[in-house]
Amino acid sequence: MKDYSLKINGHNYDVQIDDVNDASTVAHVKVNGTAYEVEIVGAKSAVTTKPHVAPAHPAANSAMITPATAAPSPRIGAVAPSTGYTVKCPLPGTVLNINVKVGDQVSTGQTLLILEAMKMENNIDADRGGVVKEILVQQGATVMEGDNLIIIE
Amino acid sequence: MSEIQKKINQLIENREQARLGGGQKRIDAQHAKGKYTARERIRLLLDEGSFEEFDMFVTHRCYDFGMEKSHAFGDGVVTGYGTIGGRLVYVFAQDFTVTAGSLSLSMSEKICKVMDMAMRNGAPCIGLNDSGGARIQEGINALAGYANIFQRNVMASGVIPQISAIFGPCAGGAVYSPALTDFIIMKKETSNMFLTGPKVVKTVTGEDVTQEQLGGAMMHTTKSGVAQFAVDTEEEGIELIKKLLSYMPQNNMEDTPLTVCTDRIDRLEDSLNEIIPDNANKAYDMAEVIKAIVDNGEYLESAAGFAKNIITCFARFNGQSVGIIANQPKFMAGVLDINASRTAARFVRFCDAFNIPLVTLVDVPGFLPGTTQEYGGVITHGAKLLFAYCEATVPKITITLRKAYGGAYIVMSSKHIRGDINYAWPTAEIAVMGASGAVGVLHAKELAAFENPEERAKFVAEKEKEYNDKFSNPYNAARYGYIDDVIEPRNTRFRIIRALQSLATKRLQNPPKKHSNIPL
Repeated sequence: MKDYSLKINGHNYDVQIDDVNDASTVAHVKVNGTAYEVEIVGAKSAVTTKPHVAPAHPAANSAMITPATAAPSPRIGAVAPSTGYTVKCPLPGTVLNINVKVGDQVSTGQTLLILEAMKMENNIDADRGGVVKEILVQQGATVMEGDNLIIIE
Repeated sequence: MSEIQKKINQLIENREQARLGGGQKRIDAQHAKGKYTARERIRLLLDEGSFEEFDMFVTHRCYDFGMEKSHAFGDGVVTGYGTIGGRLVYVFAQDFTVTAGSLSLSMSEKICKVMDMAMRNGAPCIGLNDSGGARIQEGINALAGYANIFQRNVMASGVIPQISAIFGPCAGGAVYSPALTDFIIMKKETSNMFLTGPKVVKTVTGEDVTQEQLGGAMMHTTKSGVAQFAVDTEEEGIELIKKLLSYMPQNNMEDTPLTVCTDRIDRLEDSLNEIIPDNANKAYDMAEVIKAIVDNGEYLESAAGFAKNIITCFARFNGQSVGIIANQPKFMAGVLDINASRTAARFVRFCDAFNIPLVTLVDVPGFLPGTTQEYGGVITHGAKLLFAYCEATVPKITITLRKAYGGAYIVMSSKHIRGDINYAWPTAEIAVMGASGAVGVLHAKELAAFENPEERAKFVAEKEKEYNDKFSNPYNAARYGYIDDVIEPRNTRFRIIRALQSLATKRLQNPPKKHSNIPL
């Protein structure tokens, strides 16, 4: 059992991860007291190396957790701030190209990424201006309607 | 002073008092909130000097909870009639300075009176809403008041245009009157609409929301689709009402208004010959097409922020109002989904009810697949649009610009559902499904037999080309008469105007019935 105190996007998370070894495919993780079953998808080396991950590198930790199925839940808190917003996927498709990077300043109507769906290249534009805080998908990823794509602050 | 002069002076005094509503202090408070008073709004709305007020001296008849102490003239609503651009309209404007515009039985009687007159005289009815809700002191009578208004909203629906502007709070039962009308305009920041306010939401679901988040103008015009228009200022909202009315007839028995057309009817728009990208996967902006073909490039889009994959707008061809429904390939590939179907269906029905011809611009890849859509009942919602088009008896002109596939082809005002004139651009692809899907079905057995993926891909490409050559064009549909003509894109404006002229005398009636059973 390992305990972490993480700070993601200014929010504190107490994370408990049970013992995970090479053979594990599922980890039991508690975030702020809520239990999640996290599926481990091909990240063995990251898991097995002794994580001397201190709160100083919260990003690395969250990246380790996020690919799994339970990922969206701990993120809810981060999505909430009233100034920012999450760009959601309007229709199921494949991410063809991501036009922005984290930290980029974007303006209203700017194309953030291109989504191939219904055999068309669809521009996903920014509803409002802001700074790209997080990109939650990768090029080539298959995304569903309502999935979170990019967080703008 | 003669007796009669005294009486006249008394009248003048009473009028002045009535015009002050809840008093100067409350008027100042209203202004401080960035809101106009009911009378100021009416003055902005109607032609100068045209307003005739009714029921200025109505007061409430409630004697409970201290209400007996104040009896403001008018009882929180200003009602009457006047003209907009010389055309008769009836109007009621709630006066927030009197008991926060709360609805009493007397207020509802005033509103019902103008609604009845609007119906009888066949003129639009406009409601300017700014009310704290039911007047609790009146108990069940306040509810009776709402109900009387709702009943009239429904009876007037499809008889006279009804437009609601929300310029303040509109909560609880009050929301249903605007919801029953044809168009809702909301002012950003100062207006909101919800059934239950943030406090109740907090106690019931534990959610922390602001009024703006729960029922603000931006929410309703982008997320819920309850309102069609969000405006920055009240002036803008009022101008919008005038503009909307300019496209509408006075009632369902009148033809659409004609204006003088200053734009050449046979104007060729060369840009349209180039607008469809060579690559079928690329999008273009349907709004550009609309701008290019309508009179002076002017159109008024309804529900612009909601279901952006479909455009519903009013415009004019040769001075005649039309309703345009157009798939927007720029958003979500222009698919039909739940929201697009709902939005377009309601627009089609409005136009049909008020004899406004329909022009449909088609570029639709199909209905949106996925669990979200199916669980949400896309079948029922899609059926609304199909139903609306099938039922419509106004002139229906359809131009297929590019894709028209499968069920979505049928729905978008195809020949088969009484489309009067159906044209296609040479770029049109009218088929039962796209090439890759079709090849998968038509050659399923052969495809399964391939072991070498390269050979398989080669075979697929070959068959897709064969399918595209055969079906991804307008000529196959034209061969059966499902397309009346394949037209040059730059000539679209002229062809639509000609078609509208030929359909001006269209006569078509649905069988008599109590009412249809549209899948709601």
